[in-house]
Amino acid sequence: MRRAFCFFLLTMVLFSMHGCGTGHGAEPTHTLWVVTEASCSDGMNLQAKIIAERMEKENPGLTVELDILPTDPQEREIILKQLRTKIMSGNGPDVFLLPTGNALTTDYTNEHLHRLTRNTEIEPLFLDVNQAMRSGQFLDLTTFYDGDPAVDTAALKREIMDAGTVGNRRYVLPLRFNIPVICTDPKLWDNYGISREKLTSGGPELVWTLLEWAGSAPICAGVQLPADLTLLSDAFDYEQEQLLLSPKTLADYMCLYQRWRSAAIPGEQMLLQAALTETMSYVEDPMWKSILEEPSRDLFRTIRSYNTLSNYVCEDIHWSTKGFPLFSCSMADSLESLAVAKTYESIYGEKRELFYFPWRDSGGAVTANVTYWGAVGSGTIEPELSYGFLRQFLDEEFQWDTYRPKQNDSGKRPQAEVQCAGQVENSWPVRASGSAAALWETLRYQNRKIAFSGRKESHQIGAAARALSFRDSDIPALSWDIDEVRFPVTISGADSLEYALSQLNEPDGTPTDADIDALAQQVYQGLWWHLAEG
Amino acid sequence: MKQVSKNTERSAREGLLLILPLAAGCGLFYAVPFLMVLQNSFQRGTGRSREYVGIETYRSMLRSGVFRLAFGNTLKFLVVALPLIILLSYAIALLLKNHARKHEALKSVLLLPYIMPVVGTVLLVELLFAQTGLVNKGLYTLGLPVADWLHSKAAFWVVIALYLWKNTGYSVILLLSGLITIPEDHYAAASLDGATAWQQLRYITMPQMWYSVFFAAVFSLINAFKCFREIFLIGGTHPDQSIYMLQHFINNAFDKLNYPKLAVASVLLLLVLTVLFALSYRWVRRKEAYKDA
Repeated sequence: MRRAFCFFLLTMVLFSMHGCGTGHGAEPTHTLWVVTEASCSDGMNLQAKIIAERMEKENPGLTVELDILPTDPQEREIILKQLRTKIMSGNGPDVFLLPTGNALTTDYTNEHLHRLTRNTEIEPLFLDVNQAMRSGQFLDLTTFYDGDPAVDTAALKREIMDAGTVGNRRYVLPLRFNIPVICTDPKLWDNYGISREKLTSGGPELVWTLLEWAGSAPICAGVQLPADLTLLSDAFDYEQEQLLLSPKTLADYMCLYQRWRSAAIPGEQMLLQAALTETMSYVEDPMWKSILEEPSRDLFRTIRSYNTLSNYVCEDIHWSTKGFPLFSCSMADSLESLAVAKTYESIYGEKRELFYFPWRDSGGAVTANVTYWGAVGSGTIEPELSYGFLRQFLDEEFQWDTYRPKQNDSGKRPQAEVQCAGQVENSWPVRASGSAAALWETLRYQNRKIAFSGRKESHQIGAAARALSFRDSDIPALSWDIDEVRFPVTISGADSLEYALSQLNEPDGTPTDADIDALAQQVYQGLWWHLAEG
Repeated sequence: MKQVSKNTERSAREGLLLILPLAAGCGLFYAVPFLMVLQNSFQRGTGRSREYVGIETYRSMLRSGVFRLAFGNTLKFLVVALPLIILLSYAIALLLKNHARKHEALKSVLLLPYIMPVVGTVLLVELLFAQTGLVNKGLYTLGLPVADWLHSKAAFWVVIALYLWKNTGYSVILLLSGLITIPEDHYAAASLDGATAWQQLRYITMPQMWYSVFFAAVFSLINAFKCFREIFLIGGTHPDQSIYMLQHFINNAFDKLNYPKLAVASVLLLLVLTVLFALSYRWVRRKEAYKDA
């Protein structure tokens, strides 16, 4: 019996040692573990796939594993716990390639083969990128970045790139950013008799001014007050671990939000319904009618549909042509406004000048948000390859969305293969120099719905839009001095500002009797927990 | 004489061999992880970003309001709950002493709350103490003011009550097993000498019960930390400030990937508990020293 047992043990040892020899002579293999979030199919996921394939070709034996985090909340919770444990034990991913905030935009194809997008709320892996940088979750990239001749730092937006540093060390590479923008039509604006000084004052101040005109629906509906901390001055002092906002500031913002929603929601519903009725009056194709009535479509459902080039081309839906004196949007969306104004000019021969200004925060600062970023995990065993992978996202071809599918002028490409609407991650690339022309080159192919349009002049207008060209000097936001750059922080559940604001009004905008001071105290408490525990 | 010495040596060697697996297990699964946690508490970052920061994290943690709140609440909970559970279970054990051997089923009844699933316990708490719970309904019926028991300072006392309800039975069993080992003739002799019940308790029972009380206290301490599950299910990651415990802090620091803070909190907690444990053990040893003499 004993002999048999010894023989069994010996056999097991020999078997286990057999594995040690098989690697001799074979090519060394590495795996680059890249953790990322789901995106639109022609967005960041597409870029990551192209770079991964390219790196695998250039580095024999290298496998780039794109690990896209699930969006299903239950599955995600388990995966995030496992991932956090691995990160803490020093065995985490090589590369993080992630958006900021807690909303993902992904796309799908409906039964009519139309490419549609949807927003999903998620818990981010890093609730606060600033805290993660400070607690040493990422590799210091200073040496790689500073000594990399392939990075043209002069072409990158310096203030945005500096947000990825703590002290003299660079931990994060911001890839895309956004500045909240207010677009106005001076001709319409002058009718309201409000000076430019008032227009360019701090964000909340401006909305208080607008509320004096609450009787006019477009003025309130055109400005979408954010349900997060964007318009408030910076909340956190990470060095001193101090909260810079007071419960009173939060309560004031909540009061403003409540008043604004009461005015904006009825106005918004009225405008959207009017636009739908007008369009339906000249649409004859029954299929197109059924598509327009689909509740999942953005068109005639959210006020953002008033600021897309394709909606203007197809349905004449745009804030600047529908009597809105001003409209809030992202920096990326401002390009579409400009395109509409120029198209209008070229078709109707009437000069249309739009005026853009930054939507400043309550302290009067021009604040930019990093919307997409990349970092090398501190657990990487391949620092150079990881940096090499990440750095390519700063190259022109990826910053300027060169690989997004472009519809040819005949419009024959299957609908499922065309671009998703708008810009990648609804934000602007950090490679700002030369970006306007390059982004327009991609965006101008988004007039894909012309084939279904009920508007007779659509083809002519679409062709005029596609003939336009832009330079950086056409985008005022590119030359604004940025005072502050933030990584948006996610606070989930009942402690978040978003939740508190949702308690203030009914869905139709009617104010509730929620106790604003108690809610503000709760949000303040949530911010305090966040700062102290992170 | 030589033979005796050899035998002793051999028996010592065998003893060491026998405890070796346990010692190895303890070393591997307790000592090594703790040393790693200790090492992490003096460092910042993970993997390649790890760097030595000395006592910087300890300093910042001692300044941190949230950590002080969590640490203070945990200590307050222990200071209030441990004496209460020992007194209560001691009293119940004394009352049950004479019937302990007669009613085996009694022990099962006492252990029922202890083995009750956490979800059941939480549902019971909600049923009683939610804003529309039975307690508030009763108070309302009597014309008394109602309270938000789970989201106000009262939450601390709800948690204390929950802890006592759930764990007292377990401590009673531990203390009962100590009480029934005290020889009955000690009490008989004392009765003959005219000792009162209080004197019997003070001079016979208490001196012989210190070890039992000590172990009941140790297990109650362990159970006090287990009570976090219920608190977490009642109040979530950020409950009312009065029941924000050190485990909340550690759990949330994990979600935010701050390993140094998590490590420092664990080390400081262990430090305090070790000191408390050592002092009480020393005190018990002194009380029980007469047995060795």
